[in-house]
Amino acid sequence: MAGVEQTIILPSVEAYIVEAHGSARGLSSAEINVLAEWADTIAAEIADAWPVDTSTSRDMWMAHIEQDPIAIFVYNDVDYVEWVHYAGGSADDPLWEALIPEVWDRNRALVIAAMRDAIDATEAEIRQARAEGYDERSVLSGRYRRVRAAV
Amino acid sequence: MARADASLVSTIDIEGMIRRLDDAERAVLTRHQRAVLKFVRGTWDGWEYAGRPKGAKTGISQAAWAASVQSTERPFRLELVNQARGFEALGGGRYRVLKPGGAGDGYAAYVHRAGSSKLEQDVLAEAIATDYIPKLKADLIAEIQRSLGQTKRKKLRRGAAGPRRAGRTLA
Repeated sequence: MAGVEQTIILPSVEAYIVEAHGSARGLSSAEINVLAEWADTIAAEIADAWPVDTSTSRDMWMAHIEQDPIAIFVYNDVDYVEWVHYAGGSADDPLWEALIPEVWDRNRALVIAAMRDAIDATEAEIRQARAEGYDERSVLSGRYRRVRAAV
Repeated sequence: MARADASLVSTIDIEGMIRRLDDAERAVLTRHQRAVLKFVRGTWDGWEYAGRPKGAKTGISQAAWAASVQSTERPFRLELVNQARGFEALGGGRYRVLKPGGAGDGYAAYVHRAGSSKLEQDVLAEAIATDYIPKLKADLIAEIQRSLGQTKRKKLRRGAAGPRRAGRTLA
């Protein structure tokens, strides 16, 4: 074994997109930025709770966003990370298996609320863009914002 | 990492530093890491997507940026990676985004703006080196000066390589 990984899927975010948009769509550039910042927060909170004696593995908590399904993907590629435990614990009770759900539980409601706000903002932007003759993709890609910023 | 994955590595060498960073010093590194990540993701959008099918999602490589730090020995390091893998056609005008770092070819290293031959990762590397790393180094030196001499060095052992262990999917 080398490293651990955890997928945190967000079905309620997908459902809210369908509710707000009327059908499924991909995440917009702005929504990706919001979700990615939360992914960074989750990775940082895991690292902050990680034993300082294993700084090499603590440094390697990473996260990115996935789109099919919408998810936060947290991972650590250090080869001994799955055996790390707090002092007094044992390798049969690996820290990562308990810690990641704990960090996610603490942040779940905040992440979902932030994403609902971001989705509402994207939908408003799509309506505005359409009224100006732009298509939905120009908003999702972030191109619409760039065009508007340039004028 | 596949050959065409993007990688932005910044090293911060602090002469005379012979121990790993302590918590407060490491926090300086990670605070700046997050600022750099935010800058990179915020810059990595607005693409023209020439040739991409209408039903395929956008923002695939923007979502794939991730970062780590190296705080255990000098030179200290920030590393941003992008292992985006694109999408596959499912038929009937439907497409699925492939998992970053999974099977398939990377492409983020080759991304550039329309009308420019300069690779976007090179544009970003220059901006990071100019706009972020000097401030990071100054802040880190200031924190080290505050906490100098309080950390012990420890040697870590590494195990054998293999696939990652996956946790059950959370929702």
